[in-house]
Amino acid sequence: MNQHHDSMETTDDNKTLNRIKPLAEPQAQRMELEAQNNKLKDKQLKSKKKPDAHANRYDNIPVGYLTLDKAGNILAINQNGSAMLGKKLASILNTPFLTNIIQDDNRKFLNHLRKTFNSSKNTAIELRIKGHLGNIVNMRLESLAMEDASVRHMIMTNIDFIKESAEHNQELLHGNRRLMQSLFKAQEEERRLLARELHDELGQWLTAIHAETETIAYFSKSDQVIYNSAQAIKGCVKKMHAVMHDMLNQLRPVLLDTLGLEDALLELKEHWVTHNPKLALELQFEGKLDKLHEHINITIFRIVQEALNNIRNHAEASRVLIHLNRNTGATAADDILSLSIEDNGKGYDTNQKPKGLGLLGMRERAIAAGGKFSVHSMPNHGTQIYVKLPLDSSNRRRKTDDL
Amino acid sequence: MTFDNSNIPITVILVDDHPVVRVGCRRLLESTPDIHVLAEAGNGRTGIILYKKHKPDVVVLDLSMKDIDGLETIRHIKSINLSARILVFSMYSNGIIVQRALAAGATGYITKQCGANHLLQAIRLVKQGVLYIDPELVSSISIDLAPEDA
Repeated sequence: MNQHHDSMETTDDNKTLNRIKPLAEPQAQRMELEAQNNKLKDKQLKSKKKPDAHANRYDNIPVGYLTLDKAGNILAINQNGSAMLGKKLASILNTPFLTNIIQDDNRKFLNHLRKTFNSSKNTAIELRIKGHLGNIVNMRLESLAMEDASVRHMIMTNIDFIKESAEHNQELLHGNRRLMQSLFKAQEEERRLLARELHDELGQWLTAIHAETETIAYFSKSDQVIYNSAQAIKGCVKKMHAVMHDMLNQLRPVLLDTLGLEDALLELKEHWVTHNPKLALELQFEGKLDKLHEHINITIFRIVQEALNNIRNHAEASRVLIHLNRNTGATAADDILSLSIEDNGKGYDTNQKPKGLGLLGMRERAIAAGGKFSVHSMPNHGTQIYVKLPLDSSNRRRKTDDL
Repeated sequence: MTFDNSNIPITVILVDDHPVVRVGCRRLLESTPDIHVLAEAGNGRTGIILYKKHKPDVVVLDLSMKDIDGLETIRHIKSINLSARILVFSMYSNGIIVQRALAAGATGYITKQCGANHLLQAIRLVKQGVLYIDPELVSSISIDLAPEDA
């Protein structure tokens, strides 16, 4: 639009000049000079506006620029910076930056200031600033390394939205963990009920059929047909018993509820040794491990079970050592159960995302019980899994919320 | 098969929380002239009371009962009479639990899975104080029994 207007003007000027040239020379020259002068003025005006526009942009960018001296006084600050601090630019110059920071973070800032003046690198901290509405604003303050030892330029960024999204993520994570926790709980409860039903109902009816058939067989020895049929029923019942027994073992380690964790793990070992004769499995127990809470029992048992599955399927190990220890706290409620599972297998690179869900499941189980889970491994150096579970349930809840 | 020389039948009480199992076992045991079922109990506590009352030769006992667990019942009966003969008749076929039952004082262990046909023989042997373990279980627990005996 402007360009178009300019070109029109030029055309008009040319016409005027052409028309007046034959008239008086000096007059024409003066008019030409005047025209040029106007153009210059116009350009000057335009170029004057430009730096102003830059200044505005600088003032309104969503970061604060400030310059501090060694004592932490604000030597310079942009418009936005002062706005971020909730103050007028003029009133803030030559005042200590410290006065804008909430008291708890004062020491942090002073340490940063000292460090940044001694450093040849950019350094950054997060600070809480007193907002002008009495609120607290989270700021990131980055100090730029400079040759000049007497001042430092700093960039101040509002990171409230980052904090908010971090908090939101944390909430999601909590929600996820709670879901996982109730998922495990529901799954185990359902399995336990199913196992109970199988054992208490189906199993007992089978036993009754077995006994009745035995009676029939006993009294039908003279009648081959009835006797054979009774023997066949006994065979069927025995098979059904075996199937049911396997189902029970898969659903729920029966010993866990009757004899406790130690015996259930011994039984697991027995089963394991029978099926994996080439792998030496050692179990070590320390401290009082009976009468632990059912959730603790099942969490430890499932983690061990899963770890052994992993070892069998991937580790190519020849030895596994499982150590379960009750660490005594100040009171019984502070007791912690530590589990370590170490193998001498091929290990793996922990920086690589593991392929299976085994480790993830173990971790989630430990965390759902309020515990901690860690894995250490290196190629050719085996794998070590460590789990720590608080034994007190209220403790457990508290720790889950802390995560 | 070992039989008691006397004509006096072996007295038994059945302790199992499932009535249909007791009925089936009772019928099977009563079908033999040398075994006599004195009483039945549906839980461990009643089992202990019946033991005191009847002093049977053999207690046939299930391990999983709702009130007190079977191991506790074994210990209790043994505390009443150290020479009480208890034959466990259980759904559990895990080696560890067999060990625990024997350690608690049981003389025999058969599983319901394969036990009905061994029940009669087991009762007769247990009555004489002979350790009887379901033949199908022996292999799985012999290794574990060794260190405990040593």
